[in-house]
Amino acid sequence: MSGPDPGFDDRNILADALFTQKGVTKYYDDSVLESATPEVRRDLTRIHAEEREAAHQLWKEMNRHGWYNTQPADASKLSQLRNTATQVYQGGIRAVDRSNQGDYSSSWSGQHGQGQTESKNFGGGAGGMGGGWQGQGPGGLYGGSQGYQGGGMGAQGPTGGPSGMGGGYGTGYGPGSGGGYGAGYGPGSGGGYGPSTGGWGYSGSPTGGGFPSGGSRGSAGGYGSSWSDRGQGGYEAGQYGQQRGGPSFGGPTGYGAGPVGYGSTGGYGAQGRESPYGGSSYSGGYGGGPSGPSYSGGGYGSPSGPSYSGGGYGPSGRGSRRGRSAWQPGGGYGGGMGGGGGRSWASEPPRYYGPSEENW
Amino acid sequence: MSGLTTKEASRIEDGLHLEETLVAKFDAYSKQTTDPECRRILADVANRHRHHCDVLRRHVRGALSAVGPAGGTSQGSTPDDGGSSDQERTGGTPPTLMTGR
Repeated sequence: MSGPDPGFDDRNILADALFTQKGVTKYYDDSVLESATPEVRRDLTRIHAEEREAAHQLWKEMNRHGWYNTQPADASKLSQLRNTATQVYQGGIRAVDRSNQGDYSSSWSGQHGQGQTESKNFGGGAGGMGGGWQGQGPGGLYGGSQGYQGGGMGAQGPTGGPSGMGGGYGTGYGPGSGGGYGAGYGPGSGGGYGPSTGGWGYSGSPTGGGFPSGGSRGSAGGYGSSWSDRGQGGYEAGQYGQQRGGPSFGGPTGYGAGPVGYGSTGGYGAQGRESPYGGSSYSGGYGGGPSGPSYSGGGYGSPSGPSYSGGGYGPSGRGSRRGRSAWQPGGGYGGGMGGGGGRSWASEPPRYYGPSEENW
Repeated sequence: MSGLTTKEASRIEDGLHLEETLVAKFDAYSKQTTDPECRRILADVANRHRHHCDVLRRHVRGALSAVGPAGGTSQGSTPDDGGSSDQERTGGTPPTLMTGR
């Protein structure tokens, strides 16, 4: 280039400069996240802040010239936002969003809908509403199930309701499973991600008080619960989530795992407890059930317990308490029911939080 | 100064190349623009990027010194040996930020 391009004026220059700064900012954002050495992290954090500030300066200059204008959100957009915010805080939206995430998404295509709006209230708490969500998908991870019919979710009720149930959220995740996706968002829910075969048992259940911790307490089903009997190497997913403020996985391993939900604390799977129903294998969150064909767990609340999870159960699964049975592909059954006391809150998937020296 | 992790080293290395390019770019832009305020801002951003280069180089030096003389000899291959000091490169303009070190 022999000189300044007359067509590349100040506006173009600033626009390109801003665009560049945005990219650089993202680069340092990633770099900070990748850094472990305190000094490096500190300096990268500072650089990142400066890059951001530089971008802002450039934007302000463009804005001053009228080259980068902003538009206020109109009333309809704000109304939509308000609705979203309301729903989120009452539980449910997060769970819906999960349908499009990562590992779970392969077999899902969820959509909002009216879903099941049945509300029930077991043992306390005002009846809430069924959130209403229906998902359809080709199958679970194992490709066997028919997809989902998630129950309603998003239980809503007064905070602190002693019990209640979380809404079910999807079912039929795996072959023979009825397992639901988690069922049991509300307090007292069992839940479990997944079928009794797989028993992912990811369930999130806030504490009985409806604390939106995202953590599950006492939720049944655990990550990997009930895959098989302990003796069969079913892996133990660890404690059922009792932590607040974080994701929790829980669920005891093992066979049976028939939990009885506890209303106020969320149903939790009885660890290592064989189902009283004759050998059926239950995955997390299942609190009993009929004899014979086993139900997978996902968040099926025990009828005998004071609390319920939503969640579906899969009628076609046949489980062995030893975890050896083959599971029939089965459609999930969405058992989700909204309502219950306490706000429900969907648990988060596991996250890793890197080391951080700073309080944000 | 402790050593660097491999990811940090990669990030810093890429960052050095990036910042070097940005200095050149923003310098050129600041000269090309006609609006005084635009020019000032662009020059300021260019200086920030210079300073970022220095910060990143400092980590390179620290890491090399941490690994000993062998690493110290390889320091000669770093972009820091460009023959000009930080102050010279910034044209006498101190960075406006990054002063908390």
